[in-house]
Formats: sequence, C-alpha cells, structure tokens
Amino acid sequence: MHDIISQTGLSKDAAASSCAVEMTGISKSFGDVRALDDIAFSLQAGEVRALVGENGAGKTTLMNILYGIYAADEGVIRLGGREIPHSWSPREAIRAGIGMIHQHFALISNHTVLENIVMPLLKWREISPSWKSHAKRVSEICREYHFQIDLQSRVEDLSMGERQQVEIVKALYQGAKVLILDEPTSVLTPQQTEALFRFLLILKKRGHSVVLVTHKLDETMQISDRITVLRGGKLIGTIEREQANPQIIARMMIERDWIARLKVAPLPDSAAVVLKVRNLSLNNEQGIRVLDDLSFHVRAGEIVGVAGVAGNGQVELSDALVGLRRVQQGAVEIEGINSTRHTVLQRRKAGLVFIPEDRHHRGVVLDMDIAENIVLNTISEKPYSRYGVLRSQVITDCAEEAISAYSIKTPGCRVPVGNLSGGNQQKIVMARALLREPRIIIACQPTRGLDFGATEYVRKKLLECAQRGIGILLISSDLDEILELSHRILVMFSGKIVSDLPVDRVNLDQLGLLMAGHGRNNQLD
Amino acid sequence: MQAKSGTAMMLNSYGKRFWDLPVAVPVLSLLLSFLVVAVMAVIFGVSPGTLLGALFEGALKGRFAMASTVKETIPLALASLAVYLPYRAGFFNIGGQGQLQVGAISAMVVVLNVSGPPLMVVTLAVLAAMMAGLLAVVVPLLLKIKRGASEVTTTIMMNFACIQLVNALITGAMKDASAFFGTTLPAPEQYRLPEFTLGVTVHIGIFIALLLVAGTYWLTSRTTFGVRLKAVGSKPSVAEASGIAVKKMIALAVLGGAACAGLAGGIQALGVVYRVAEGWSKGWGFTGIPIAFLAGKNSLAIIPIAFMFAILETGARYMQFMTGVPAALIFVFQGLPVLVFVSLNAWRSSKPNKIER
Repeated sequence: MHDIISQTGLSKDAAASSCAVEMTGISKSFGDVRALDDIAFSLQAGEVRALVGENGAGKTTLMNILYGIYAADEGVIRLGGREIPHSWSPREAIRAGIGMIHQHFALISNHTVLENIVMPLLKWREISPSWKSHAKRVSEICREYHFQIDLQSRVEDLSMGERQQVEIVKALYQGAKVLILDEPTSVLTPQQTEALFRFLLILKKRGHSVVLVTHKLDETMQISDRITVLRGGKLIGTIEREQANPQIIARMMIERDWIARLKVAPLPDSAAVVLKVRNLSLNNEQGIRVLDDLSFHVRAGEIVGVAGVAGNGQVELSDALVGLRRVQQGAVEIEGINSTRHTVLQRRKAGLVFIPEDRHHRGVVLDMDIAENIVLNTISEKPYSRYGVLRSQVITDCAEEAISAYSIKTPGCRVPVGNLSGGNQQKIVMARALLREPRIIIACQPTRGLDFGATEYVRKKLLECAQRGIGILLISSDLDEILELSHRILVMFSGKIVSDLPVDRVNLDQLGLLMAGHGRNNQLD
Repeated sequence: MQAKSGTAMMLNSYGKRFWDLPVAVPVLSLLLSFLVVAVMAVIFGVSPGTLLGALFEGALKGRFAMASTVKETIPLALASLAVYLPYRAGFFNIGGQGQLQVGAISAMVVVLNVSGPPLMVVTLAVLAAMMAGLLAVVVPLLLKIKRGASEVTTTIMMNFACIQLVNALITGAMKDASAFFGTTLPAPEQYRLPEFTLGVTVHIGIFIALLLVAGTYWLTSRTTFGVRLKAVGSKPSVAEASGIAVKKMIALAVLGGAACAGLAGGIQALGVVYRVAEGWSKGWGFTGIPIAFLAGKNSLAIIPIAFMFAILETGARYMQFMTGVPAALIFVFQGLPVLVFVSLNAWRSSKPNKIER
C-alpha cells in the first residue's frame, strides 16, 4: 500500500509547471505544537481534490495558509508558477482567484442574496452601486453554473444548502478559479449534498479547481479526482481515485503504531451499571436531530470510549448527560435512578461529574482564583461553607492540598486561573471533579491542547479513577487516547452510535471506516 | 530545587507590580482627571490651585456645606449599589435614575396617605420605595433572562417611562393644588427621616447607606452567594456547568440593586427634599454608574468615591461664584475618571500576565 502512495504522490511533480496552486515545504507551528510539517500540495486546473485527515491533521490550517489567513513559518506558495508576495492576505488571495468557503458561512443574514454577493466588491466611494447591472451579471453566473437562488430573498430565509450556494456564487463573482470548501457537507442534508456535488462537477467542467476539506470517505470517493491525506501535520500521500478505496484511505488517515502504554485493568463481569442511557434523542435549536436514539451503559470501573470525528454529536451527548440540555426522548439513569429531568446540581449530587471539552467555555472561570475554582461546584456544601458563609481557611487548605496532589504550578492558591497554563487549568478541572468521590465521570476531550506531560498525567489520573471503581465515559476525537484507555469503544457518526465493541475486538481499519461514516457495524449490542 | 526557586521567583514578580494593586487604577484615574481639570482651569484663566481650592471650600468648609455634601453622598452611594450589584452578575443596570424616581414617589404616596405611628409609616414608605425600584426593573430583567434582550437598551428605556410617570403624577393626580408648579404635598413633619447631629446634622439615611454598602461587601466577599455571583458575572457558561442557577442569581442581584436605587429615591424624598417636585432630582442614578465602575471589585470603595463625587456636586456652585469658571466644567470632570479608568484597564489587560510554565 505504501508503494502506491509514494508512487502516485511523486508522479505529479513532473507536471508542476501547469499547476494552478503549488505549495512546497510548508511548515507552521502554533506555540509548541507543530501543526504542519514540510507539506507539499499542488493543484491543477479543473480538478476536484479531496483533502482528508482526522481532527488536527492540519487540513484546515494548510488551506488557511493558502487563503492568507495564516502565514506559513516556512515554505513557498506559487500560483500559476509565480511566487506569492510576503504580504499575503485573504484580500490578495481573492484577487488572485482563490475563494474559500468556511464551515461557518460569512454571510450577513439580514441582507439580501444580491447584497451579500456584491458587497465584497464595492468600493467605499460607491455611494449608489448600480445594483441592476450587478444583478444581471450575478444572474448570468447563476445561469451558467445552474444555481437556482432568488437574488432578492434575504439570507436568513434560506436553507443551509442555499446559503452555501450563495457563498459559492459570491466567490465566483469575485473571480475565484480555485475554490476551497471546508467541511462543506457537515451542515447539509443528503439531498443538498448531492446538489452541491452537481455544482462542483459543473465548476470542474468549466476549468475551476476545487479543494474539498473533509473527513467523510464516501463523498470523497464520490467526486474527487485525487485524494490527499494528512495525518498529524504530515503529508501521508496523494492518490488517484481509481487506485483508492475507502479501506486504503482510512488506513492512511489513522494508521499508527498502536502500543498501549497504559493498559487498562480487565473489568470483572459483576461490575454494576452506573450510567445507563436509553434511546436518547435530541434536536438542536434548528430542529435538526443531533442525537439519534442512543443507547449504551457504563459500568463501575469501566472506561467507555466514544470515538468519532468532532461535530458528530459528542458535545450534545455530554451536555445531555450532564444536564445542560433537555432531551426530546429517552432516559438517563444514574445508578439505577432516572435522572433525565434532573438539573446539573442534582446529577452531580448523585455522583455524575463533568470534565468539559472546552475548558474556557465550561471548565474554569479565568477571573476567579484557584481556590474558588476548585470548590465552585461544592461551595454551598459543608465543609466549605456554613449557612452560606464561606470558610476561607477550609477552602484555602483544600486548594493547597489539591495544588500539591495534582502538582499544579502556581505561586499560590489565590492566583487567578487565567494566569495558569492550559495543563494546569485542566488539572484544576480534574481536581474539582474529583473533590467529592464521584461515581461517573463524563470526560470530554480531556487532553485537548495539553502538552505531552500534562496529557500523560490526565490519562493516568483517569485510569486511577477507573481502578477505584468510577465509571468513565471518555469522549475524545483522539483515537490514541480512546484505544489506550478504553475497555469498550463506541463510535459516533452523525448523531448515531454506529458501533459498540470491546477494545480487544476493535479492528483499526474498521474503526477508521466507521468514523468516516462508511458502513455500519452489524455487531451492535 | 530548581522548580522551587522558580516558584519563589514567580511569587515575587506576581502581585508586586503597581498595576496589580486594586487601588492603582481608580486612584490614577482620579488624579489624571484632576490634571485635566487643572489644564481647563488654565484655559479659563484661573490658576488650578484657586479653582480646586474653591471647589473643596464650597463643599467642605462650614457645617452647612459639609452637611449637604454628606447628604449628597447617601443617594450617590445607594445609586451606585444599584449598578454595582447587578454588574457583578453581568447585568448593566442603567435604569437607576428611573428606579430612584419611582422609589421617591412611592415613598411620598405612603407618607401622604397612611397615618399611624411614625416608625411604622416611615418603614412602610422606605419599603414601598424599594419595592417600586424593584418593579421598575422587572420588565428589563425578564426580557434579559427569558429572551436575551440587551439590558442596556431596556433599562435606558425604562428610565424615560419611570421619569415621565413621576412627572405625570406630580403635575396631575398628586399635584399640590396650591402650588404654581408640579409638586406633591410636602411630607408631614412626623414622617420625615429623623436627623441627628454629630458634628454636622444629617438624617439617618446615612446609616442605611453605610450598612448596605458594608453588607454588599460582606455578601460579595464572604458568602457562597458572592462566589456564585462572581462566577455568573464572569463566565455564565461555566457557572451553568457547575450547577449554579444562573438566571436566579442574575435575578437576585438585579432586583437587589434596583431596590437600592428605589431606596435612594425614597430616602432623598423623606430625608432631604420632603417633596417630589418638577426637577427635584439630580442625576444620582446616572452618577452612580461611574462611582460603581471606579469602585471596581471592592464595594467598600463606593463610600469614599461617592463622597468625592458629592464634593464635586456641592462645591461646583461655590466654585462658579468664586472663580467665574462655569459649574458645568465640574460635570465634565464627573465623566472623565471613568473614561480614563476604562482606558487604563483596557491597556492593563492588553499586557500579558502569564505565569510561565
């Protein structure tokens, strides 16, 4: 398999001169993290390219560099054979014919379609733009590429699929020859996806180049000519569609040396179920079903890993379990007691604690000091307060204890948490969760953004907890973490659990396919 | 060993900088503002010393001046609590002036219509004032927590409604028939706030104000309510995930604050002016905003800062009389410290303050 990759990866370099885009030796670091490492990427006119990889593989970063949002630390970008200037920015990228459509559309929702399309081209001195001639030219583009959008309707009244069309027309109207779409199908229904692909094929026929940044294998196979795979900031290879199949791509995306360094202890069969979820369904604010009939359980001392690419319902699942969102259907049972209608506080008192995905959004209050953050959940309980009055000494002692137990690096326990590093902030989140021995931990991306040492620390701590008989639901898009820690692995894809297997029966190839929405495990519990 | 000395070094560098002292920014803001006033004095052809001298003399020299400055401090302190407390929960209450006005008129309604033992009637009037202030914020509060409407807009709008309601009452239903202008009847002697003399003569409202400011300090720094309030104010999403009833906390802080504004109006009506007439009120509710901001994290600072602003209010006339510099200049000064304060804070927070790993 490696032979195929290297051959095809190199074979195109000969044709470099005819490339619409040629990026060589691109590297980029954010702080200590090397997001991209010596990446070469070239794109020809009239091709549809899929750029695939797991979360954090560097796909979006690479495209953001091409579009001028980030500057590369190293490397050269050539457009049509000419090197780009140092002052590369989205404005210049657009002028050079590159259009990028981000996952979150950049449209003004109370403006009309026409206004949104024309606005980027207007000069400030144009007091009264000639809307009619603009409208005429935009409708010509729509006719040429078979878009069907009413230029006078307001963006807020459009469906997600139509908004995406507006974005594409906007880019074309600005003269885009290279179109980058970042996870274009994540907000679309299957029908809208099909429509999008029809447009992309028309674009291709007219000589435009398209880059699809995606993690979904089926659609990758459906329309792209070539497929480039990134993994952990490195280029794994580029293959022709004819030579690829979902298995090969999945392998390239996730292949790794899997040596479980922290091996979990086997679980006795008698362990009691501490968390049981039955037929859980949840719709988001737009009425779209984001959790679809989930059923699973976690036993005492068991670590259940939830694998999946971010955005497939993981955040909603953790919110629903912790009590931050009301579910439409189904039940959550904590140690046999139905807690579906319980508040966050009631669930915590029943023994369910939360390590949130986004520390700054749900985890710590940066303006508050370490001690306050550690006891934030339990502040109203003894011994931290009596009759609503704080017992400062008790709180300080408790914080000092946590600081030494978790080796949090800080000059003192009354320092604002915002002054600490991410790893130390995460330790505070852990310390708070474990302050009162919980029964269940919902741990979401517990090591995201942490350096190596802090990551190992958090993982060891979770294993310790499991050994003490705490049930853990580990939601993570880091496959290594899931494989290393879990007894059992669930795979989530578009709001559903598509697989539920003990870790020793998990097959890496299959896992990669399931995460990318290809196929469904028949051995569901 | 190395780690230990590293920690010690961080300790030294942390908290020792002038900028980290809680008083640094407010004090500097006031000083810079005085500097601006001094420059303006020169523009008006007066020496800065003469101008400031006249200002302080007018506010502090003599029992009568001193008494009116102290009396002026009371509504300012209470009105700033009306901003301070909701702001701790992330709610910016700009409706203080309206809440204060309806508070005052409600207190007048009670003393003009209820008779009984003075202690009972006055207590009832004060409670009515608080209740009115509280009711005046209910609509913005509900709009905020149910629908997420910006409280800045809604509380400002409530000011217009409240102030004009009071105007309508004093020129209509509650008008003193014998007066040439819109005013209520005067509060009966026995239902006015009792006064006492301790060097200067002031009414007992001062105790209420001091007690509430001290109580707020205690509540925010020594109770679980304070910690939860702080969490709600700085990061509601984290507070929610910690099991704190975010909306309830916001509601309590906002209602408490608005009650203070109503109380300010009631106390001013029963303790100083004795009647609510057209133009009776200075902008205490608005001046409370800069006071609350300058007090920052420590509500005890409200007292000296409110006193400072009271000096500006009472000394301004005398200063105009003595130096010919218009009193309006002083009201320019009232806004300045806040602008300086906000700028300094923004500048300070733009500086990195990370403890290195």
